Order: sequence, then structure tokens, then C-alpha cells
Amino acid sequence: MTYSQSELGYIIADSLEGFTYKQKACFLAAVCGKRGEHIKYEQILIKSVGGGVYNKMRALFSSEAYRAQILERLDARGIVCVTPESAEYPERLANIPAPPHVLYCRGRTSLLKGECLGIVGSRRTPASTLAACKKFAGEISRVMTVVTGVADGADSAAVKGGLESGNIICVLPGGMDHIYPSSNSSLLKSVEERGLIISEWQPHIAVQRYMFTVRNRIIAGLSRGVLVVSAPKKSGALITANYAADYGREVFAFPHSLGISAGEGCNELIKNGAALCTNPLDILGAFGLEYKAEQQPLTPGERKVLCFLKDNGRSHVQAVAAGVGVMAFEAVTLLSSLEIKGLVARCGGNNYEAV
Amino acid sequence: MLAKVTSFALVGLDGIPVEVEADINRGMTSYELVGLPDAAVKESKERIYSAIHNSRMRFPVNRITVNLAPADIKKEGSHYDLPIALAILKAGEQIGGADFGGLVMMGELALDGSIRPVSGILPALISAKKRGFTKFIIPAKNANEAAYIEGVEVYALNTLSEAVALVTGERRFSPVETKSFTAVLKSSSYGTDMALVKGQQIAKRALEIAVAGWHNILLSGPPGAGKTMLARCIPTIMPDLTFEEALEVTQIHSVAGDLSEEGIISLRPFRTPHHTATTVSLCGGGNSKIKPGEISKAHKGVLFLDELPEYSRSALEALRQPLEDKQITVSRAGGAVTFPADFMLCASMNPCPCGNYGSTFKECTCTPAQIKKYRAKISGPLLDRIDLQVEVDGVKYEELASEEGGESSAEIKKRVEKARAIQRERFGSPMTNASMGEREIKKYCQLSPDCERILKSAFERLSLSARARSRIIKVARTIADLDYSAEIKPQHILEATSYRNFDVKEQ
Repeated sequence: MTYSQSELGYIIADSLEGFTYKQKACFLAAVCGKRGEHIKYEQILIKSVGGGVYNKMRALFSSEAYRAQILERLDARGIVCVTPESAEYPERLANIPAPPHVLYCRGRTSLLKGECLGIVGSRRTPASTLAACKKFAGEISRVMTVVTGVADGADSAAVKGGLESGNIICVLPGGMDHIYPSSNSSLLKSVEERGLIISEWQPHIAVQRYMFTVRNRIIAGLSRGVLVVSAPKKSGALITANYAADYGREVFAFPHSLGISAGEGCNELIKNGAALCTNPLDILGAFGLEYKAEQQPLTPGERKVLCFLKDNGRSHVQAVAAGVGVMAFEAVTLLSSLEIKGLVARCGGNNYEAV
Repeated sequence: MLAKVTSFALVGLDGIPVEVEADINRGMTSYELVGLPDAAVKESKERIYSAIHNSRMRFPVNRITVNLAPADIKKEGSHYDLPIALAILKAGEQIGGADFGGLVMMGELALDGSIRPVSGILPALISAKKRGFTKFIIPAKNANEAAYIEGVEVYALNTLSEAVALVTGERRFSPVETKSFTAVLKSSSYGTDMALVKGQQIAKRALEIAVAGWHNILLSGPPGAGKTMLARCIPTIMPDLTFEEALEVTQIHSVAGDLSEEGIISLRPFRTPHHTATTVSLCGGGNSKIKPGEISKAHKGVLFLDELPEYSRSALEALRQPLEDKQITVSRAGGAVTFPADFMLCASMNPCPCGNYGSTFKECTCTPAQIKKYRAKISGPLLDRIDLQVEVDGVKYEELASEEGGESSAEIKKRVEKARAIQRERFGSPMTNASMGEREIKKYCQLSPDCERILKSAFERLSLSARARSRIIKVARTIADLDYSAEIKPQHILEATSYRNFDVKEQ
């Protein structure tokens, strides 16, 4: 991969280890920033790290051998770097207070420029919400790009939905060599092939706790809006929603019934002015986009079962059978068919819920 | 003088005739037992000595040599006591006129001269009959085991003196009367019934399908949901054992030495090894004599593994091959033995470590990672062989107290039998849907374009793993059989996909 001189500046500066985001930003301004500001940032940085360290940084920065080594390391992993100097760097992300210096990418970097919607939620999300999340992600990804994380639960559901069209971006919390949780690595593999995975960390950097919050600003920063599918009172999904609100992006949330801990945060968001969202068109409409929803034909039996579930909420198969007036195994058949059509979700213990 | 008596040695379920030869010569008093006897056989001398004395006869004082031929098979067990004793008596010319021609005997002696029961009578009898032997002396307590074999003359005797009287022709004994298997079958019952299980219609239906197609089944549900009770009902909806099957099962249990008084097993076995079971106890083995394990004892019946994830990995993986082959070959340094192991596997587990995942009245406290880890304890290849995976509901107090029960086992059994008849006709053999290979699936499970479409969208929508495909088709075939439908219809496929909780790549 070949980079322009200014892109290289970012990549090499970012590769210097042991410095904070601010220090790296100062260094960049000092070595390749605007003329006339060099001295100012140099002074700030020397104050922060000391003159000796600063000189070492400069020496390393201009060493050809070091540059070659860094680039080789990235090329070996098939990683493409996108910096604020690159054409692919999305303007929306550049406008946030602390945009990443480098996005380490694998997959279709062209997705970065598209219209994105962040989908976030809790790891412990009820099955019916997961099914809804997958369905929304699937439908929205036909017109927009879905941006999400890699955790179990809501993130994985959004990824699976987004994979249907391939318009999906996963933002990793740490470097690419450290997938967390590792059980999702096969899922990420398919995202890499059909969508895009990005990280602001060099590939060898392991995940640490604080990185999750830091990562959430990228999800919010990339997106025109963020959909919160589920969130307990204290959760990463809410942090992302707060970032989005701070950046002036739209915040959408699924409504939840009372007494479900995974829905408290969502309801709180709605109370505070987030857009209540029950249909993919709610989101697309807010951005002036639309798509044609497919209408799936239902048999009379399926329609009855679906109506029953919508009226009664989460129900046991036997309750459905009794309510619709069929044998239990016939109810199972109808529910299976509805599940395949994505209209009901199985939520454990032979219980089903309409999506 | 030299005397010869025939007895039988068992290798697995196979009987091999053993010539017991006794020779008494002049010389220094000695007793030599040769022909690869194990400890129990060697000790027989002391028992025989006392038994003969206490039967008012004399143990010869001379040079006695006893040989068990063929000399290259290891002789195990205590059933050589009786033939050795009689051979010695004849060689000592105390019962000179005795006629041992074509007579096979087995039995352990007690010091007072009575004959004690031994294990393995039935398989020995069956193989001896195959080799042309028709006359037998066996312990009286084993009489019932022999009662179901026709065309043989079996004398079940109580004491050594009786045996002597029989072979010398002093007294006449009447042979064991043959009993009818159907009468036993009618009088036996499992002591439980599907009608006693409240609610659980989904699980009951799944069990019916499983039994109809001889599919293996996994029940998952919260603690106290009644998984064990459901499992215990499985044999009650299985077709009755045929006489041939019953003989096969009885032979295995006869070798294992755990036959009851009745002498024949007329009920389908239901085995529940505890989860601390070792691989050997499940599959069979042993130091000198190779004995059948739990999977063979569950032959033609149910092997119920409660709390499946708690079993050791090696024990579970060892089940994979017998599940395919319906038999197990146990190989040891001393030789290899094949036992039949055509069992239906029924396993149970909790849906998650806390047990409440999916419960309506208790919240699950497990993280997704914990649930994943718990379920990953069961390997994919083993899960591959379990066609149905069903959730059992937690039961509320009101349901337990209610009167509503549902169908009785007998009604379900009728449907199962009909579905089995359809399968017998289809395959022209006692084969069942579960054992269909790819070739049979192609031949007998043609899917209409409609079904293909449903199956395809099921895979896409429910992210089923690819190996679930043939399993779903096989189960759909059985559901169609229960429905008396010649072809597999969309609703059969749909129902089959609903019994696949664990195939979903991840929740």
C-alpha cells in the first residue's frame, strides 16, 4: 500500500508508542502542522515529555528503517490505513472533538464515506429485541451502512443483519490482533470479507477497559444517527448515545415494556427526547431516505397466531395453541414458519414473542 | 480312567465349547488343573472337594489331572465346578455307568453340594444349540433363563447328588418347561405412563417423534421441570420387544450377571448411569473377562444421560462410534469382543448454568459468555447425532395441581407402531429413519420445491449450521410417517426445524 507524505506522517506519528492521544496530536502539529505553529506545539510537547524524549521521537519519526518496518507490519496483516489526510476519511468523523489519527481498516474502506447508522445495545438483550435488531439492521443496511461493535447480544445481531447486504462496519475496541470476545472472530471474518472492520489502535495493542468507551465515540462519530436497541441504566450503549447527542447526531431508541432491566436506559432516552423507533422507516424517514419493504404473504393460520402474539405479548406455545384453537404441534409449525419469516422470535422455554 | 464332560466358555456373547477332561492315575496324591484357568476356576478344587464329600461320595486320592480344552482360551467364572466334579467322579469310577454324551453342563458348587446360579447361561445355551447340543444341566435358579428356548432338553438341578442321579440314570427328571414369551410380555409393566406427565405437550410430541424414528433426543429445561420423568416414559411408548429382541437383550444382561428372577427381559431397558460414569463403565471392558457396559445394557432401550454436560468429555466422545454402528467392539490385550449397542440416547441438560434461561417466572443470571461456555461442553460431533433438541417447560404449581394429563402411553404407542410399520415397509428391514445415510435420504426424502424453499430460508434466517440439514430432513420424514403422508410436506419441515434449539450458531 502506498501513502502520500502527509498520510505517512499520521501513520508514523501514531505508531510511536507510549504517548497519549494529545501528545501525538502535538507532535503531529509540531512536525507537519501549519507553518508558524511548529514552535508553539514543540514547546508544549517538550514541557510534557521532556526534551530528550522529544528528540528521540523526531529521530524515530524521520528514520527510514523505522518507517519501512511499520508499513511492513501493516501490509503483512492486510491493513489499510485511513488518516484525516486520506480521501476516504469521513467528514463526519473529522468533525468530532478528538477524531482518530489513523483508522486501521480491513475490508471495503469505501463504506466509510457512506451514510451510516450506529446500532448499539446491551450484551444481555431479550431474544425478541435481538430478532428485531437483526431485522432492522438487515433492512436499513440496504440503504445505509450499519456501524456497530463486536460484542455478543445486540452488536452481533446487528452484524448478522448487516451482513445480508454487506453494508456493515464493525469498530473494534482494541487492535486487530486482539478480537474481543474471541468467540466472535468467525463473525468478524465474514464482516472483513463483505463489509469493513476498523480500529483506531495499532494491530498489536491489546484491549483494555477504557478503550470501549473511547471506541464508542467513533461509532457515534461515523454515524448520522445512533439506534439504541437495548440498554440497562448504566451501559456502553448509553455512552454511545450521549456521544451522538453531543455531536449533534440523531438518537433513536426502541421502546421497552416496564420491568425489563435491559430496556430501562432506552425508555430513559426516549423520555429525554430521543426518537422512539418502531419501524426501520422511522429512521430512514428522519434522513429523508426510504426503501420498499417486502410484504411477506401469510397464511390465515399464521395471521391468527401473529395477532394472538401481538395481543398477548410473550406467550408459551401451549397458550398460543389454546388461543388459536389448534394442537400444540400445529402451533409449533405455524410459529416456526413465522420465525423463518422473521416475524416472531423464540425466547427460550418454548416461549415466543412477536417482533 | 479318563472322563470327558462338555461345558461352555463365553467370549462376549459367543459361547465356545470347552472339554473338561479328568484323568486319575496311580501316583503321589496331587491335583493339577491345566488349560488356562483363572483364579475363580483354580479355586474350584476346594469347593469341589467339600461338595463331593458332603454329597456322601469320595474325592479320589490319587494323581488327578484336570484339563480344560481348548487350552488357548482363558477360562473364567465359577460355572466349571459342576462339570469338573462330575468328570472327577467318573474318572474315579464312582459313577462308572454315567453317560455324558451330548450333555452340556454349567454350575457353581456350594460346599454343601448344592448348585448355585451362574451368569451367562442364556448366551451359552443359544450358542450351544447352534452347535447342535440339545441336552443341558444348569442350576435350578437359572431355570427361567432357559425356559424360553425351544427344541432343547434342559435339566435345572439343585444339588450335585441330583446331577449324579441324572447322569447315571438312577432317577428321572423332567426337563424345564418352555414358557410363552407373550404371557410374560402381558404381565409386565413399566409402572409409569405419559398420562401422568402434566402439560409438556411439546416435549411429549418430540418424544413421540423420537421413538417413532428411533432418533436420539436432548431435553433441555430448568431444574425440576420433569425431564427425568419424561425420559422414564420413553420405554412406555416404544413398540413391545419382539421375542428375538428380548433374547438379544437378555443375553447381554445374562453375561453382565444382572438378570432378575424372571429369566428373560421383556421390558425395554432404561439405563441411567450417573454422570461420574467412566468410559469403561459406559462402553464395556474389564480386566480379564470383558463385560458389557451401560450402552450395551441399554440395547433396544433407552440410555438416559441426565445432566449431559457433567459427564466427562472422554466418556461422551466414546459414545459417538456406537451411536453410528449400533454396536461396540471392546478391544483388550486378551482379545476383542463385540457387544450390540442399539440404544436410543436421551440426554437432558439445563439451558444455562443457573438453569433459568427462558424461564417465565425466574430471571436468568448468566452472561451470554457463560451460556455459550456451558453449551460448548457438548461437542459438535456428538450433537450431530442427536436429531431432536427440545425445551422442557418449567412447571408452575397450578399445573402440578391440575387434573389435566393428556394421552396415555398406549394411545401414543399405537401411532408409533404404525409409523414403524411404514418404515419397515419402506426399507424392507427393521431399519429406522434415524439411521438413514445420505443415499437413503436422497432416495426416500425427496423434497418438493416448496419444501426446499422453506428449508433454505430457515437456514438463512435462523442461521442454522449446515450439518443440521440432513437431521431436519430425517426428522421431517418421521413426522410425515406419523402423519401417514407419503411425501414430506412443508408443515413437516417446519415442525422439524423447531426442534433444533442448539443448532442455531449462537443466540
